[in-house]
Amino acid sequence: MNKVIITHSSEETEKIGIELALSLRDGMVVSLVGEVGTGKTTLVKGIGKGLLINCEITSPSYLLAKEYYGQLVLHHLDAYRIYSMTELREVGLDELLPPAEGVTVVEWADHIAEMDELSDISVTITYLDFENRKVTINTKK
Amino acid sequence: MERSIYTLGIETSCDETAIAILRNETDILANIVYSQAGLHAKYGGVVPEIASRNHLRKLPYLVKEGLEHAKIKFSDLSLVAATYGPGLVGPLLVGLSAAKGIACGSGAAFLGVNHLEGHIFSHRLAYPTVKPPFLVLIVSGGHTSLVEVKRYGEYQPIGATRDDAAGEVLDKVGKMLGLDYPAGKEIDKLAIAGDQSTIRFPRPMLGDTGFDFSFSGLKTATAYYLRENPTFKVEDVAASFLAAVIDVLVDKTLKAARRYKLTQIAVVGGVAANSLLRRRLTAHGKRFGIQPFFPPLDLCTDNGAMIAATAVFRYIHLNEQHDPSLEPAPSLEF
Repeated sequence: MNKVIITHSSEETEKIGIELALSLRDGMVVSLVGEVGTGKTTLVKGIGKGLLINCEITSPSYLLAKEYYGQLVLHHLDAYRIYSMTELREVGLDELLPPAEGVTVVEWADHIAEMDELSDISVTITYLDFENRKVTINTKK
Repeated sequence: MERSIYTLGIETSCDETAIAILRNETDILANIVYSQAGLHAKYGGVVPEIASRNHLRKLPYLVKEGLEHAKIKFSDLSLVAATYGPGLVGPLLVGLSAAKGIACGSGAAFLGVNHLEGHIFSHRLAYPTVKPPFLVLIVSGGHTSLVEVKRYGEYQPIGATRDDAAGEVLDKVGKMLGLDYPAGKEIDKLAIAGDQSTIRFPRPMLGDTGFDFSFSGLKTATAYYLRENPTFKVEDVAASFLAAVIDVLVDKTLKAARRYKLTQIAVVGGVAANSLLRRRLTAHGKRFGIQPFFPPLDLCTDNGAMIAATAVFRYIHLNEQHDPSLEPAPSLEF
């Protein structure tokens, strides 16, 4: 099922994350795709709010993965510097796809070919202009 | 004469495989970093597979070389330490397992070290006579934080980035400009040749009264500028972008120092090498009687000496050591 939303600010992108969080269940995987600066981390911040996580969600590009505790455990992965499933396996992050507990959200999911198969929800954010973004949410099953 | 304490420190939390041997608290006998930046460059970032495998392969040689350099044997070690977080699970596990094994085999104590506390001790290694309290700005690819050091071992986090780390946006914008990873040094160089008044990029959070940072909006503004101005001059973009990053870092850091009445600032982490940050923080700090300290480059970036220095401090003064069951803590904070 495909849903397309145009957002006009980062607050609106964050709001999509909050709404998305309501549909998340234990063991689910969410893929996020979009260029630098389109609002992927902003959307994850929204998911965090929706899951009632009350600490700041920051970019995991360097550490590759961060973990937060709310109504569900949120595993926040970032494949900005990863280019294959083998590399994820090497650092043990493949265990989170899917996670035994909580949900896994993967930024730069397009860097890993297998993510299509592994995701329950795929979100693609495309750049329209400085403020506006097209957010496409594809839900499997 | 009292017997010397020899500490082996191992750092494998991210890009670098690094070890060091310390005599007592601040005497560096060996400090070796096997930089994997060459391997990472072609992928435009750290490739964990390569990082993890190389830590494993390089570590035994680095330890052997370190011992030779320090002219000591395994049996001379009193303490073996490794970073246990924050960082990547696989690489952390390599360093931790090596440390536990060496400690067990040589009869030394074992201690896991928080990488962030390690950065604070890089300041102590460089300036052993500069005593707390002081403010620390940790600014690297993975971290941008302000921490008050009341005394070694007692820290008060003051502010941190709400999205991207300063070093991360430098590398990401560097990639947009077609520069090699890591891009900080090259942006610094290009910026000197460019005109920083060409583009007025936003200074996120500058008007805010708190001490948190935000660099994601600046990254977006730069991406937008490049898209709208395909004939951009790389030097001018680098200069204008870097000026925005440094303005925010300098302003927030000095505000925090004044608010907490601290007259000394330790700047640590890879971005501490940036020449514009050094110049501006020194010049603006002077107006308020605040003095920044920048450790030499080999102590600014990830290294084993800072891990050994943290460990030996906690071992001697806080009477700490860890059980071999200590596991990696990838999301460890202060």
